[in-house]
Amino acid sequence: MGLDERLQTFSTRAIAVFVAVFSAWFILAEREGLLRFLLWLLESLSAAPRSLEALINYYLSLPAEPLVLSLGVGGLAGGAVSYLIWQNARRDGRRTPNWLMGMALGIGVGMLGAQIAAAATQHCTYKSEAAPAETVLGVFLTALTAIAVLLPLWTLLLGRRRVEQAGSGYFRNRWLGYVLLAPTLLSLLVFLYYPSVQMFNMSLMARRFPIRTERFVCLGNYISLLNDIIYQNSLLTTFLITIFVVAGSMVTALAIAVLASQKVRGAGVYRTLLIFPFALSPVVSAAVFQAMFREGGSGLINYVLDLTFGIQPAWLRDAMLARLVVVFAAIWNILGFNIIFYVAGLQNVPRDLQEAAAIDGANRVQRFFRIVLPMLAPYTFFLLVTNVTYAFYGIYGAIDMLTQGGPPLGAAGALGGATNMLIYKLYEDGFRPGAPIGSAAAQAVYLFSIVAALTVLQFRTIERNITYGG
Amino acid sequence: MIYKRLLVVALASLLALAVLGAPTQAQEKIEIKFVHIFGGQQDSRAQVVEAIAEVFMEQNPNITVTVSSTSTDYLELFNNAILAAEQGQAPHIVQVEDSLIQLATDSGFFHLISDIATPEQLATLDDLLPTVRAYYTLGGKLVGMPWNASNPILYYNRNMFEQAGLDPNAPPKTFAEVLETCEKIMAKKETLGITACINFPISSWFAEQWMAMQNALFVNNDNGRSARATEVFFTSPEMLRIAQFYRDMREKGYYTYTGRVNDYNGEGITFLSKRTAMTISSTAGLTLFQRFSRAQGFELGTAPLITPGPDADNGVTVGGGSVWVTKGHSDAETKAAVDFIFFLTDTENDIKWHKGSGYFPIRQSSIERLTAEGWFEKNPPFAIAINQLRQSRNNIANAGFVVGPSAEVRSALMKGLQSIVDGAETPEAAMAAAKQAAERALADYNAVVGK
Repeated sequence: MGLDERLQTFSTRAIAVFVAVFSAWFILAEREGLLRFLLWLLESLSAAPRSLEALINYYLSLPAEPLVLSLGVGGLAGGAVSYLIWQNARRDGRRTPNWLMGMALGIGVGMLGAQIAAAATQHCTYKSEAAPAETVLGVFLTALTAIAVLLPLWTLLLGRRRVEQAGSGYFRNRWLGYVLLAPTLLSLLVFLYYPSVQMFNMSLMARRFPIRTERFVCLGNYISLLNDIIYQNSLLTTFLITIFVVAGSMVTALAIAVLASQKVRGAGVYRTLLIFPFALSPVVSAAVFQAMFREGGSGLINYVLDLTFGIQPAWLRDAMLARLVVVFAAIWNILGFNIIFYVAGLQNVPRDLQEAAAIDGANRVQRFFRIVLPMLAPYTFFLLVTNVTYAFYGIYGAIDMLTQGGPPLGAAGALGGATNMLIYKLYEDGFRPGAPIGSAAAQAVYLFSIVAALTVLQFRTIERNITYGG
Repeated sequence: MIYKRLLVVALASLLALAVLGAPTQAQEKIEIKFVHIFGGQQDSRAQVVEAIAEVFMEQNPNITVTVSSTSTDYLELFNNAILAAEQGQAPHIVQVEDSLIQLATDSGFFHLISDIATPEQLATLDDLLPTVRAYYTLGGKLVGMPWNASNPILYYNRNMFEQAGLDPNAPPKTFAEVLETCEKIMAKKETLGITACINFPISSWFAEQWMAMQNALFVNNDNGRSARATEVFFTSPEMLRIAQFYRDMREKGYYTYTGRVNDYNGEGITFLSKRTAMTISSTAGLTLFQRFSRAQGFELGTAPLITPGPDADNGVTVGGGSVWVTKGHSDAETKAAVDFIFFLTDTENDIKWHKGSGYFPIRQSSIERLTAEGWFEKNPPFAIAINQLRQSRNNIANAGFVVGPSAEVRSALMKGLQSIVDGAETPEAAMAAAKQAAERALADYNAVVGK
């Protein structure tokens, strides 16, 4: 055995021992919670046969029309997508299955996949009493699940493109990899996937927290949100604030990172201080902003402005100014995060390129825009994605501290609020006592879809134009 | 092989788990948990509660009362308790805010006091102040045990009154008098260094008080007490009178607020930083107001809550919190919890609580004893709150309103007032829109929860 190999065996063993010790400790320390969890798992498992029976009974008693319609939609979506994939694969010269078999499989799997959404909604969108908007949304949802099931299947069918793998960095034994992954997968399953399913089920209900009675309302929550002017305005507000937060935080962070990367005495101290706002929780940093922008005479900023210029802007009471304050608070909180990445990125910009450009006569500005900025593109893209997610999900603490979604737009907020972002509206509708949590769950599904779509869009349009080093 | 070893370790830990995790022996001792909102860093009220619990434990050595605060916010505390209850780990006693009593009753997570208290304990309820008892009575049953009761009162800066040439012993009593007083105070705006004459939170609670004072209902079906409310009276002449008051003050620039609704802390800071001459806040903050006004070097004045007019003499409604016993515990634990809340609110502890917290006593016997002690003569501001409540006529209007989605109804009203103060809305338009939003919430709630 060579040294390398021995080292590898040793590190594998070290990892295994560490995992074993950690699991033993974890099991001992958390035995009560784990027992409860185990019981819950057993309970859910033992309920599986009953659920299956219920499902079979459900399908037996289902009228023909909704079943046929949902199968049709699924088959159509499955067939169409399969055809496109099949054609593309042929053009690329990849190994493809027989045309007829491929289509039959696509349609069949599409029909089955469609049943996921259809059964979850109890085929309500295919019944005659469904509203037109409900039917449309239902068709969309059914097609989506059909395609969601089909895509991985086709990936398998077309054969994996084998990537040349280096010898190191791979587990000799595949199972160890799965063992190490298990805790993550398990926690994802329990804390993410299972609640997501629960949340979708809840979004089909009319329910008031914490009262347990609930009523099935099909996609009613989704439809009434679409028709709700407050929700529409909330969506617009979210995009508006997101654009300003993302642009503001990234440009500011880049500017500061460039300054902080200059060779000056104590640059390290500056960098540390510049990064620290990120260590504060959004609520704490918003509390600082609240103390500064508070009105009525006890706010710091208005006190100073009053003394010097004799003005007291209505920071939190004017729609535009309130948005601005929220944007400021949000930018200040994420700034440190962005600066860390840009400082790191700037250190990776090769000196020789800049020197070569300087010799060719490029001035500082040209060098920055032609060399530094493109070299930072991977960082910029990463920050863009994380900042957009932050703007959509991370600002509700700041809004709650500063404006509570206000100031109201229209009489008594009939048109919503100037800073009522989707995530804050969701928080209000989901966590107030007596809150309509069915609607909140539907909002969560919408919000997730929007962020997911935006992320995919960013990867599709921007990421393609980025070169990662090398 | 590695997995074999791994397997051995895992099995050994499972074994250990089985041994250590074996159900513990049933205990003789009864342990009950009590959660309240007084968990703020320098909140001395928590110590008062703990002292009372200590005495209770001395008298009942087999009972341990664990007092804790999972949040300083009523709504969050309520949510936490409900979520814990859904996991089967509810605290035995939960402090519930006034506006949540319908929801708490509907939720089915709580025992109603009238259902679980012993006849002897129920007999002591006759001693409760009638307004307090009426507030927490639904369908003839006392649902939660009233505990920390408070009222809004007027706080004013006596020094500023003097400087403006006003009699500091004659604070304004009505909306009209506030406008008159403010005219004189704003004339000295520069010398006084104020931003506005009066500040107070945009809060539904004050509007509820002013409606009660005018003997006007807030919602239909006897303020939601004879059947579920379906209509809010936001466009009634009485409510429009209140809305008009906000409008008048906005137009004259007499009024200000922090830009955040329900911001009692922030408004207190504005007033205590001498940026306004008057504010309205809860009696619960009295001790704090007294301490900070001394530190700020001005003389604090207190007066009864201003009324819409001399005709509005029906009296105020009670606010604050009550304590509730959750379901799902053993009989012994439930009994211990009920015993504790009756101990917590008996005459002696009621007095202790009043003196230590500033919330007012809820028992007539407490007030008699405090009066005999001469306590109110030494602490006139406390007398203001008590008298204001005792003078309340006991009827449906000042029993207060109860609805399930109270958070939404209150929020609709606050947004209405906000759009009068900050927007250019007329009281009529703003209140009509607020009424629409509130009634939508009521209809939705009633449709889900049922009659």
